[in-house]
Parts: sequence; structure tokens; C-alpha cells
Amino acid sequence: MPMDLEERDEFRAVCRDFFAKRAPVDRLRRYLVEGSDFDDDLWSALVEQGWALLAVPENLDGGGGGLADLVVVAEEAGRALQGAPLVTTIAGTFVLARYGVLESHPEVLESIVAGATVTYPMGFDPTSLGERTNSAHLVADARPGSYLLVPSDSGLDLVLVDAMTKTSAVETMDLVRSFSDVGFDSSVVVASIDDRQAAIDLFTTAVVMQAAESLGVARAAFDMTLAYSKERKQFDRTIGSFQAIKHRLADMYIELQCATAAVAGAAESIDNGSEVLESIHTAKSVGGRAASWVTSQAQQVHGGIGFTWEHVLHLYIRRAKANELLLGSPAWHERALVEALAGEPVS
Amino acid sequence: MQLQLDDSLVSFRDGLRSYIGHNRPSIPRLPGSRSPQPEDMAEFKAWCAGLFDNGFVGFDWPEEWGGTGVPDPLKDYVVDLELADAGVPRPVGAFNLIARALLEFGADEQKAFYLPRIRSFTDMWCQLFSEPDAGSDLAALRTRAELVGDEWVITGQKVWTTHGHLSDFGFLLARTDQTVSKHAGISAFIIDMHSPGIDVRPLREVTGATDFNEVFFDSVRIPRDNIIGSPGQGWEITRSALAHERALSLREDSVVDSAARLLELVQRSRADGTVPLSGDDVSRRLGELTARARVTDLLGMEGVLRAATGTSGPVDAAIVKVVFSETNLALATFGVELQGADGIIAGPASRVDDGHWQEAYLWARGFTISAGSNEIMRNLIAENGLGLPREPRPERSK
Repeated sequence: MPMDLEERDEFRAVCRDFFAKRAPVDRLRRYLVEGSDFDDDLWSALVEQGWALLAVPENLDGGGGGLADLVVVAEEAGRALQGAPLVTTIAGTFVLARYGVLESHPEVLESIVAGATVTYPMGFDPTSLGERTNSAHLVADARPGSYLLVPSDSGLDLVLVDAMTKTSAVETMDLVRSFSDVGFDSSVVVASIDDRQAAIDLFTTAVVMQAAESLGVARAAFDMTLAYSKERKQFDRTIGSFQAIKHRLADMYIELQCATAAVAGAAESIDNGSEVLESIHTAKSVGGRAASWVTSQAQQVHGGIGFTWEHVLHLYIRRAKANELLLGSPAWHERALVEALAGEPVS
Repeated sequence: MQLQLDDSLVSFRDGLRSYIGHNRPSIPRLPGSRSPQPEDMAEFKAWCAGLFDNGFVGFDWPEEWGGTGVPDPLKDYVVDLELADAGVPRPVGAFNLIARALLEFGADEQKAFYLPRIRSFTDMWCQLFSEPDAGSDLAALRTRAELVGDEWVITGQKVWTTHGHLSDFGFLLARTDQTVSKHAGISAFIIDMHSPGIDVRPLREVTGATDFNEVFFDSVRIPRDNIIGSPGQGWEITRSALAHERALSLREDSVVDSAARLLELVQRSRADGTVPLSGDDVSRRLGELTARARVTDLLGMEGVLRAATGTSGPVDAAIVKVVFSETNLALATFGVELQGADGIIAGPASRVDDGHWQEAYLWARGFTISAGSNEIMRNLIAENGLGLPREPRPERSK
């Protein structure tokens, strides 16, 4: 059931506490040494929390959350820069639930309850959709047992990633999430939704969840930067006392507030089914740019220490930039916003 | 992007709509802080008095002074929106500011005389705060008030006085004590704008129009009882009154409407060729500005909801002010740039919107400066919102 404001605040506190304990920032350093292998322990803990099932309807024993609730966990996951595919799993099940696939295919629901992840290609937007395809580009966290949603002009195909699929890793600038290209043949398609709108719904849902995640990434970088500006002394003063730094931090905070309003507005729009496209394009334009810009400013304020490999800040910059470019860049969404409002291509 | 209204707000809104329908004045709604024409003042005042009388404005005043005693930011929001949508004037002037000051700090006689006159909009009020050397640093003001016998004698100069040329009374800040710190030496007064020795001169601003005034005081005598509160209390009174004022947000010029107007302009241009710039870059930039405009509205709405539930943050209003004013300026700038070389053609000679964008490009600068410049807003956000150290204020410790 959708939460009221107070419940949502409590839920946010629970999420933040969980990630702070189970996915502390120091854990991220492990990625730098060991690479971005899937964090099984964290994923099991998330499944145990029931958070992977937040978008599953209540009549199927899920959380039945609206997107306005789901963006809370996405933002907190982003804040922790967690590598487990929580955001894609929630967004994917949200769409599967909307089209009744979890009911028509109980085995899919059972697997997800048991810990299967859901993912989708991150490089697509509605204008790049083509005919039904047997491959997916830039899939996050594809691993044996994952469900992969493949969008096309015909709708969505649900693919079970297994030994039969061909998965080749792609090296990306995001060091704490694995990406791959996946090829498969039709034998691994477990369900199909023959409705183009399903592909659009996956896109809009994924964009809002991604914008929420990016907001969390940017908030974490901002918090680090604010704390640092109160500690770091130069010329016998904390650097946060210099107006150049104060105004930069004020601007970072303003952008975070704008992104927060944009994400909340977009989540509500999807829940209410009103002005969905306008709202998600706004969220990606404002939120995508904000996260990239805020993390970039965070590095500038950190000075030399923020430029070192050992400092975690670059992991946030990398994630924010990757998210900005995936699922339609801000520039793509800006043109699409104008088109949505005009009802036709403009200029 | 609309606020969900409950039943009582819907009936309040419908009441206002019907009131506007039956009482629509013939005078135009003017943007921002523009003043009514002198010949329109009688009708303007009657219209504003009607809004008070029918409980659409000033409903939050205490019951003994004609209100319900219940503030409701959602009702304020509905009133702002409906007046704008209907294209009818909203009450302007310093009436709200002086009312707040009097309700909290005024003497009984002052309340009894002025408050009913404010509700009946008998007088136009102006605010006499800023001076040529006291802008962002308002407390540096130098206009003096000296007690001579039973009268205060005012000498000095004010600037950026909106509606000064039409006003009957002014809410004046003047220095009554030179020996204490600059904040502690300021007092608040009511001044009759028709007093001998007051010279109101129109100030021509960047647009070429005159929307503000300079006001000169040459030994202007006002009664001793015209002080509000006690001597030296002026800063406290002003801060308190302004805190209410800031809660009224910026909904005079809708940035979402501006963005929609730009979209229409870009679409129209394909047919009539008035906008030479076109293509992908235009639609991308327009989309970015439209997104900004929509977020400005979302932030504004959130601010109203927070005010209504008493959960406003200390810098919410400052954030909305910065985002609104900078988005507004960016939209106007794009409106001019879209027109290419012909973008320099101003006024009715312009083939696009009668020169609206050339005018807006200049006018929009007022919003990033007035009501606390955006730099002051950023200081506020950094200090009150983020807990960063305060700017050095050497004069305060004087």
C-alpha cells in the first residue's frame, strides 16, 4: 500500500541506516582492488529485507509500493553507491506487475522472491527502439539467473539469462557496476508483452528510478563536501568560510533541491498517470544534469585529495556521469519534452 | 502539476471565481511591481477593498480586526492563482507589510486608526527602506529622524520606492540614534506622503519606463506618535514584517507560461519566418528551460504545502527566489536570442510579440536583485541552511 508522508520519512531512515551498516563507503574501496564483482552478501540481505519485492503487488505478497515510495529506496541505494541491482530489479518488477506477468508466470515471481534479479539494457530510449531483437546493449548486472527485459517496438521480451545466453563484459567508467552486452536465442524468452506501451513504461519507470538513484549519489557527494569544507583549513580559516566556496555549496544545494522536486514530481505523475512524459523528461533534464554537476563541484571543492584514486569521490562522479548518459541523455530528454508539449517534432 | 484542493478550498476557489465574475474591474492587471495609472486609482482601491471585505485577502488577520485569525497559505496560493488566471489586478503596495508591523508592534491608537483604513484600501502604502548607500546592507541606512519638541524631523533620501508617486502613507525606516550599533539605531515610522518637504521623483530604470521613485525628505515633520514600537526597535519590526512578506511567493510572472509562450513562438516561426534560429539546438535549449520552469513551479508548490503544514525549512523561500528569478531571466534571454539579428528590434516595430522579449530581457534583471539579491540569498542558504560560517560583519561590533 502506498505510504503516507510520515511513513515515507520513516522508511527513508530505515533504508539509510541499512545501507550505512551493510554497505558502508569503505566497502567501495574493495571494488577498486577486486573489480566490480557482484556483491552476493549485500544482495541476500536486500532480498531478506523484502526490498527487491517492493514493487510486487500486495495480493502477490509484495510491498505494493507506488513509485513515490520506490524512489526513496532508489535514492538511498544511490547514496550508498551500492553495486547490487536493486534499482533495476524494482523498476523491472514494477513494469512486470503492471502487465500481469507476475500472475501469468508464477515461476518468474517465485524466482524473484528467491533472489533472482531483474535488469534491462541501459542504452535505450524510445526513439532507438527497433524490431524485436536477440541482443541487448549495456545491460547492468547481467548474471546467470537474472531476468532481462528487452524492449523493442513490439513491446517487451522477458529473457532468462543462463548458460545459453552469450554475455560479454563491457568496461565502463562506472567502476562499481558491471555492464555487458547480451545475446540470446528465442528459447530463453520466458514471456512477451506484445504492446509497445510496455517498452515505454519500462523506460519512464527506469528513468525516474535512475534519477532518484543519481540524486542519492549527488547527496552523498554533497554531504562529504560540506563536511570537508567545515574541516579543511587554508590561510588559517576553514575553506567553508570563503564566499567563493559558500556560494558554490549553496548552488549545489539549490540543484539538489530542484532535483528532489523533479524526482518526486515524476514519481507522482507515474502513480497518477498524468503528464508522465513531461514529468520524466523534466526529472532527467534537471536531475541528470544536477547529479553530474554537483559531483563535479564536489571534486573541485575537495581539491587535490579528491583527485586521488584512494578517495572515494571519483566513484560518485563516475556513477553520476554514467547515469546521466544512460536511458536518454538530458539533451535527448529536453528535445523530447518540447516534442511532448508540442504534440509534434519542433524545428 | 496542480495542487490537489480539498472540498473547503474548492468552495473557497469557486466563491472567488464567482466574485470575480460579478465584480470584474475594467482596469488591467499589471505585471510585477508596476503601478496602476493615476486615473485608475479609485477603481483599483475599490477592487482591493472588495477583496478584503469578502474574505479573500486579509482573512488571516485577528478576528477583532476583521479577519478569521487563521492563516492559510493554501488559500493565499489559490487567491494568487485565480487573480492571475482571471487577469484581474492583485492588491499592491506595502499594505501587507505595514499591517503585519502594526498588528505585532503598533500602539492601540495606531491600530484603531490605520487597520480599518488598510482593509478598506482607503490609502495606498509604500515602503521607504532602501537608500542609495543602503541596498543589500539595509541596516547602513542614513536617513535621520530627530525628535524636536512633539515632532520627528526627517531628513534624507530613499530609493526604489515602488508606488511612491501614488502613495498616501509610507512605512519608513530612519536612524534615530547615531551612537549605537547600526542595527540598534533604526526606528520605524508611518509618514504621510503628502507632508510638506517630501519630494517624490520618478526613477527611470533600464527598460526606459518608470516603475520606481526616489523620495527626498527635507526636514519633514511628522507627529511624535507616528513611531511604531519604541525607538531602536525598527530592525526587529522590519525583520518580522518581512518574514511574513517573503512567505508570499513569486507567482506574478509564471515561468511555465513564459516557457509555453516560447514554444508557441518557435512553432509559429516555422510558418512566418520571424525566428531565424531553428533546429535541434533550439528545441534542446527550450526543453532545458521548460524543465527548469516546471521545477520552479514544483518547488513553489512544495513551499506552499510546507508552509501550510508548518514544516518550512529556514531557506526554502531563498531557494525558490533564486531558482525563479534566474529561470525567468534565462527564459527572457532565450526569447531575444531566438530572434537572431532582429532580436535587437524593440517595441511595436518588433515582428515578434510586440517587443515583449526585449522588454522582458531587461525587466527580468530586477528580480535577481530586488527582495534580497541572489548573492544575499546564497549567503543565507550557506549560513542558515548549511551551517557555514557567517560573513564578517565588522560594523556590528562597533
